[in-house]
Amino acid sequence: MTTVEHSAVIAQPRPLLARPTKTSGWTSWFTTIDHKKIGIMYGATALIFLVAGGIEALLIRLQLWRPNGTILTAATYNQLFTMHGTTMVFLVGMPLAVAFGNFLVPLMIGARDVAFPRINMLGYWVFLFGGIFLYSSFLFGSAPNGGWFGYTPLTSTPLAHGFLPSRGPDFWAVGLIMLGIGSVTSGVNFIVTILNMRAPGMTLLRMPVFVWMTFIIAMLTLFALPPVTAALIQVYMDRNFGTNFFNAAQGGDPLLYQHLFWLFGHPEVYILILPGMGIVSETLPVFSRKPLFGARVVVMSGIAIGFVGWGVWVHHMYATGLGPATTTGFGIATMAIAVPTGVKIFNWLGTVWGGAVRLTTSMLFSLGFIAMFTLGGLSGVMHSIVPSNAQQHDTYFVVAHFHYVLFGGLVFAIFSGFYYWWPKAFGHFLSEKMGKINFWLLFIGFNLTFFPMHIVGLQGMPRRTYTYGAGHGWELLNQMETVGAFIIALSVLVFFVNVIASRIRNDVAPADPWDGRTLEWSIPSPVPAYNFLEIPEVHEFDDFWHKKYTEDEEGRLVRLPSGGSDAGQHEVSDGSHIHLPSPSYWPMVFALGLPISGYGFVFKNWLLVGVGVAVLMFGLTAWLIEPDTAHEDH
Amino acid sequence: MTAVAEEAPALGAGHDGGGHDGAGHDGSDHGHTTNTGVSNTKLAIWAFLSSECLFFGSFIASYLLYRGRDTNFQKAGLIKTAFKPQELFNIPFTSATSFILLMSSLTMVLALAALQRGDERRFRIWIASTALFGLTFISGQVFEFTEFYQKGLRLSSGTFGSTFFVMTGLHGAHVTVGIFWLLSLYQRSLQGKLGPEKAEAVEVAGLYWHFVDIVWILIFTVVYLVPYHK
Amino acid sequence: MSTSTDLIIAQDHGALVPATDAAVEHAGEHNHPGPRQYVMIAVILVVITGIEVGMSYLDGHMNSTALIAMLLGAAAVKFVLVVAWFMHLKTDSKILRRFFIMGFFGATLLFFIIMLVLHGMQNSYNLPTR
Repeated sequence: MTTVEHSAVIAQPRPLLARPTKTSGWTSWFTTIDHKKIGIMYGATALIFLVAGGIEALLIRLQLWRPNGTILTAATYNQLFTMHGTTMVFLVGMPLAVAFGNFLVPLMIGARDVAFPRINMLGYWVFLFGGIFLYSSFLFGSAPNGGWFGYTPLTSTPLAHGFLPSRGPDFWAVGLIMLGIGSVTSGVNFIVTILNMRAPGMTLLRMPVFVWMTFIIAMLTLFALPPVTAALIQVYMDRNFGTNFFNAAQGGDPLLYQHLFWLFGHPEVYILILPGMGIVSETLPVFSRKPLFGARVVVMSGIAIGFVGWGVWVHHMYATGLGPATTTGFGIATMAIAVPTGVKIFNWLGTVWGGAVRLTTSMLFSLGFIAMFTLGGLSGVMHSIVPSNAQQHDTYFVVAHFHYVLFGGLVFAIFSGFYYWWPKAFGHFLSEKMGKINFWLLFIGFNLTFFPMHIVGLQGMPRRTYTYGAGHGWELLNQMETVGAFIIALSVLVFFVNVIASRIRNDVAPADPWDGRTLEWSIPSPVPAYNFLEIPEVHEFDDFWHKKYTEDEEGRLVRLPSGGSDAGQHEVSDGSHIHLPSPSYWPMVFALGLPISGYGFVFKNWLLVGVGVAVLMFGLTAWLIEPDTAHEDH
Repeated sequence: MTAVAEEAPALGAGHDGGGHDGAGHDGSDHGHTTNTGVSNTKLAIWAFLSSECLFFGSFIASYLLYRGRDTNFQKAGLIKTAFKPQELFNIPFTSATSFILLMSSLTMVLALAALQRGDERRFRIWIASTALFGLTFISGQVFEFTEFYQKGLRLSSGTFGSTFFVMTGLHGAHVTVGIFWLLSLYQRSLQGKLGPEKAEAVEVAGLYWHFVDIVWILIFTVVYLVPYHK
Repeated sequence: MSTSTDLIIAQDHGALVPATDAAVEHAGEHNHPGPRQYVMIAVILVVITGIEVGMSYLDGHMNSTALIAMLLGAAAVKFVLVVAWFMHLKTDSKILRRFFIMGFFGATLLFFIIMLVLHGMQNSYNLPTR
């Protein structure tokens, strides 16, 4: 290995390169360890991948425009639906959750940064390089083609045996292991930050619900990623070193893979949806001017989902013939998990009910979330019933279900979050007018795309198949879906136009534009690097709201004269006395080692693996000998 | 190798914690002002280790699932050859290397205790012997793998070869990462950068090291000692 | 000694910045065992390992279920000893214990279920009938 240079580097007493010090300008984005900038980078990168995954979806929809379509070959179609799923789950859904968590968690708990700023930075670069690594597979003509779930023995059979005639599954397995490393580091970081860095008085039950949901997804990430990492290592070994983990001819058991994968895969579903639940739990109270109805119950339901989410993975495997006892048990657990989910929906409705509702774009998206997610949840309960599941398995009905949950749920909530927190992140509003166009296009396009899938699914149209025959009565519905998909694309385009136009128009936002309830609204927009000039003291749930308002004898809200904002303080001091950790190159160098080794593993080039490990060790060593803050006179 | 890469964040965590509370509430350099009373670094390493439980759990579960399956398949005429683990294993030899790994856990805690007392000379002796014991264990594993290979066991030898080599190999990779970590601590101590106030950096490395040891306690019993049916 | 200074510093800080959780425990609980206890634990570990290795040679001379149970029991005792003493979980903060218990028992439970499901379904795999 790299022992020699490792120790040689350690022997140097000072950093290898001049410490980066710039905190503004475009170069600073490469070395930043500011949680807000990293959050924005996560979000921007995830949106780029959203476009990539969206283009794949559009190509799929074009192919399915009419029966026996010829736009794509079966092989290309396989690559596209695999990459669409992989992208949307690993490169869009999870990173967007991390983006919001990164930006918001320290602000909401009253901290100046996350617990491990440089590890935070590492997580981002691992995500970016992992995503680029996965997409670079197209250049080698071997994009992953075994589905985002990568069932064995299809994916695990060695290249020579020709089940999947490319290195696609290798790219997929190595890429996901890499992304998993990034996810686990960010999970650990969130857990430590939330447990350890809360402002005085911010007890666990006074934390905003979004922070709670981030904590739960971090826990789920921590425990869900290892089984799939193990399974991916086994797939890789089976393909490249002739092991027999999933080779039935030698005693291996392909079902083991399904268990390990869904042991990750189902909690993963909650990793994707809980941030959405957290976001609407913040927006709905603000735009209804009412406290979140039963906030503790929402938190408890989230925890319940987190736990029960571990006991339902087999409902992805009903069709494998596990026997009545197993399927019954997991069926009951699956129905049970609908209870805390349903409780939350009623909590949100109770929040909006009787409130002074402001129908801003953000609120529209949140209401859309409730409606669409409820529909997705209902078809989910249908899946839990084993016999009906056997009918629906591998049909477009399932596709409709999880798009209602993850698109109607997560994506709507994410857009709600964008419109809500954009002023906080960038200091200016997004255009409400364009935002409403954005919402209605998305709402109409989404339902037009995915609602007909329920029908064709129940009529038996199989998913993951590159075409369908004429005469099943699916033509019109498929054409509706394709039109809907393009309306969605148009809606996303409107969003991007809105982003640019709003930046040019620069409708400056005050510190607290929405009359918010949580701590991030108590500080200026955009947030200064040190977040809080003085760490706030927290006395109750929705503390910032209670600093602004009190009740008179008849229970009416009365605004307190002080207004609660500490914006005044910022004029007094520029916060330059606050020590912040300095920027660094090394987490990026460390992360760069991973894709280099990754290519080595995919093409079995051990020299390249060695180079990658050397880069990684170099980055790590330099990182270790670099102090947290540069030595300078303060 | 993948395992090596996977460990690295923990290494980073081990270092990061020292002065990181600069980003914390009061700009204090001391690690004890967290809400839970536990330092960030320690909480992080325990969270990471609990995650690792599921990583090794997956491989141990795979091993247990396939345990004895080769022999059964051979009896049923489904596969031609099946290695009998009990004929392959050299129990006295593996017991000795396991014993050495167990003892490395002792030297690890002694190193930590020495550093907490401020006795850096003893600390270096103990930490070096921990690394040496770890190295001995790895050498034993290399020897064992070579021996099994010469007896014909391959990665592709039924499910036993696959599960055995991959599981113990990944464990070995973890031990190797641990050795590098220990050596870097030794180096830091030589440079005089590791006084009693930095004992937590050693404690965190020690937690990782003990974790690798307890994984081996389980593997040793489950793989080597629990009898295979004839 | 230095550990006790540590303790005082920790408590000082605790007083300055009031900790917030009801279940808070100060890291001041650094009353880690000393070298003597460590060596004693190591001796116990060695003895158990010796017994374990010895027991493994009893295969065929005693009830194999009992033998397996005893071997696994011995491993569990060793496991607990290392975790409780060498990794200080016995004296360290509860929150760390909870993390590890969640990870370890969670893993055990989940994999137990997987084994149960797969074995229930595929006993025929392990014992094929001709």
